Amino acid sequence: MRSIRLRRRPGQGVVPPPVRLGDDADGHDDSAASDLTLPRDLLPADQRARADRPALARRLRAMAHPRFYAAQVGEPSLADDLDGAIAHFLDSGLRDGARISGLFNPPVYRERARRRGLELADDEDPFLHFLSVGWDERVVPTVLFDEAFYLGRHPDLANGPEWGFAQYVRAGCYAPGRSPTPFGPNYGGVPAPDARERQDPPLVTGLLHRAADYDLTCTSWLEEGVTAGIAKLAKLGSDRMRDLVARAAAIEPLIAATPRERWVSWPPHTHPMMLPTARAEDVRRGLGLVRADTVVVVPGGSAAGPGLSAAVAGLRDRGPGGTTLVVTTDGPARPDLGVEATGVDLSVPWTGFTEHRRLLGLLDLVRGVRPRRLVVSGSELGWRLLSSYGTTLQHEMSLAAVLGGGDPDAASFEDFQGCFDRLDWVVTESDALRDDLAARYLLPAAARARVLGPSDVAAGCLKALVDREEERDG
Amino acid sequence: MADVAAILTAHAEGVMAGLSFRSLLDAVAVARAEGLEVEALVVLDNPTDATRAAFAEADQHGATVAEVSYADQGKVRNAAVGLTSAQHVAFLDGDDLWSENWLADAHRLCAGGDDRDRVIGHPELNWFFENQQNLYFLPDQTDPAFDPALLRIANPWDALCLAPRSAYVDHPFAPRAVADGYAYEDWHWMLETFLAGYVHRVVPETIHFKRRREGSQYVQARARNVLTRPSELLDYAWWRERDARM
Repeated sequence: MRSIRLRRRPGQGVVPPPVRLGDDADGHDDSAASDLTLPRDLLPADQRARADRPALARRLRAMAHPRFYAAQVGEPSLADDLDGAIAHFLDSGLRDGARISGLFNPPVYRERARRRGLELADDEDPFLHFLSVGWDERVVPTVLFDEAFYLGRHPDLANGPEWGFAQYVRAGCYAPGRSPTPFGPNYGGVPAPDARERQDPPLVTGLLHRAADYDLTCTSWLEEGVTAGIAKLAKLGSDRMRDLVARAAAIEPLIAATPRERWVSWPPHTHPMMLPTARAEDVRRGLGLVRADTVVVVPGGSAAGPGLSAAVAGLRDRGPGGTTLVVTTDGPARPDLGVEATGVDLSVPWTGFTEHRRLLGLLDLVRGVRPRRLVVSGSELGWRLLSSYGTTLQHEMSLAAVLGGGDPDAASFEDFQGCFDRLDWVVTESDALRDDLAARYLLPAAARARVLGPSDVAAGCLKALVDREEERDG
Repeated sequence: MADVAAILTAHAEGVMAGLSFRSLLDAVAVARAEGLEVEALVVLDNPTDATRAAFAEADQHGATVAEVSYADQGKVRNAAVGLTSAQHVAFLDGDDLWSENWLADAHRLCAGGDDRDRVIGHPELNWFFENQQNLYFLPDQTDPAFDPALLRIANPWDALCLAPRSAYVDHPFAPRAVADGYAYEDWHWMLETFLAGYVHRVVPETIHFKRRREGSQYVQARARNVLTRPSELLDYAWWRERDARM
């Protein structure tokens, strides 16, 4: 990311006193917004008299994305501090050219305003111009929002109290499934439960992707990708492409049917799998190994239970030198398994991604290091890997699980019965749970032999199972 | 030896396959008009009576019809390659269409350079129709922004490409084994050809019109949680070596 700390507009050595915005007149709970002050000198000359409108403060606050702003000014502490980010922006970031909003792009706004006959003077700040003029004129200041597309998908908004972009800024960008362009949610993430409170829409993840390669004050990976996609799409309007489509449609008229809904993607510029790919690569590059004998998948953040500890010790006792890779899926703190192990955390790099994409990340890792065996213990994602892809993975590695911990619940039994047929062995966190499973499922002798309690493992039963497993796999 | 074999594969498409056949013949005509020698071949895999009937007069349109019994798209394509000696091969599914410039323009791109034996051509655009109307612009491997790691996560290309016959002979499609959890044989083929040094290029201003129906093989494969077969390209050891080379 290019620093903007040293960059200032020419002729701005003297900073005039800011304008204090007055009380909110329309009854919104905007106490924080009404305390904001905007620099009068950067407002359009004919708007300075309107500078005390609380609407401007509300708009500024609604548009702010602190994590995006913090990345530009090199102040990580502002990422979760909306008020702090706005204050910093008004104090210095605005004059340094930083963007407080991922949904405002200065060059795009200037161009679109110009096309509307709204020329900006050199000394007018484009963002303040947008807040005071462009918003009222409904000039969409970013390629990341296509008003016609958005209203087409959500026609109820067309008759709402606010224009489509305002609705998207206030609520839509935090809602799952509210794609603002035909390029879909290509920023890879899903809204966190508190995304709206923190004003951290998932599109910020796309804005910050490969941030070092872009000058975030005027562009980003996400904006460049959508811009490229728009240009690509526009080529469909060429005579040549229209003719090719028409000729095919002359054979099959369905080709020319008006789409009910049309999504457009173009890797590597705009595609839902680009950010998952980047995360998978981040994990791979940070791993430090390319092979592991045993991969243990745990949630992280809690100590290993007696079953997991016994299982790992049992594997270790079969012979030294095997590499163990411990994967945490829900929290980065790795449990002490009592053996030398390499750890890798998936919870942080895959934060904000859908469950399906997190699963793809785990799958990429597991297949990538080609382990002799995979052991899942307590990780919901790990169990999902076994239930979704166990049929395939059992041809590539031995599959095993540690079950229990706390009081076994319905989910534990669901995991067990959904995966047991594909597992070479299961170790329970207590001997009582082992007995419960045997009785509950009326396990025959051969199946009972694959279900071990901690005492069985201590007695060497796991070694015999694993020896047979390795003999089978050669 | 023909320059291109245009191969249509069909199974249960019935009369609808006639649309695809007509599209193929249009593209063959354009390619021949540009001086290419093109062979048209229809390969039916366990065809329904209606599908067989749809091609009853194919020979009158200059196409050869063959029947096989695999119930496996990859094996059908492997067999089809064995029926031709053309330098390049292009596949069309029995419910899809090509833009009429596909064969001529793809052959020009793939066979026109010094690396003519190593280029695999893909259309610029997959235009989906019927149950889904999405647009998918395919990536060009030579795009500086293209990250081959995407191949581990998703298949960016499509088996309906134009490739040197040698690519299919040296890298036949793997058999499907859905019961064992393996499918996506076209994705696996992309992995293997990429590893072998083939370069996947996009042919400008070409379109494949792809019918999306409920129950298509792709939709079924997704629902089954199947995976590609193992490949060196999925192996982190290969990526570490690649990192070292870069």
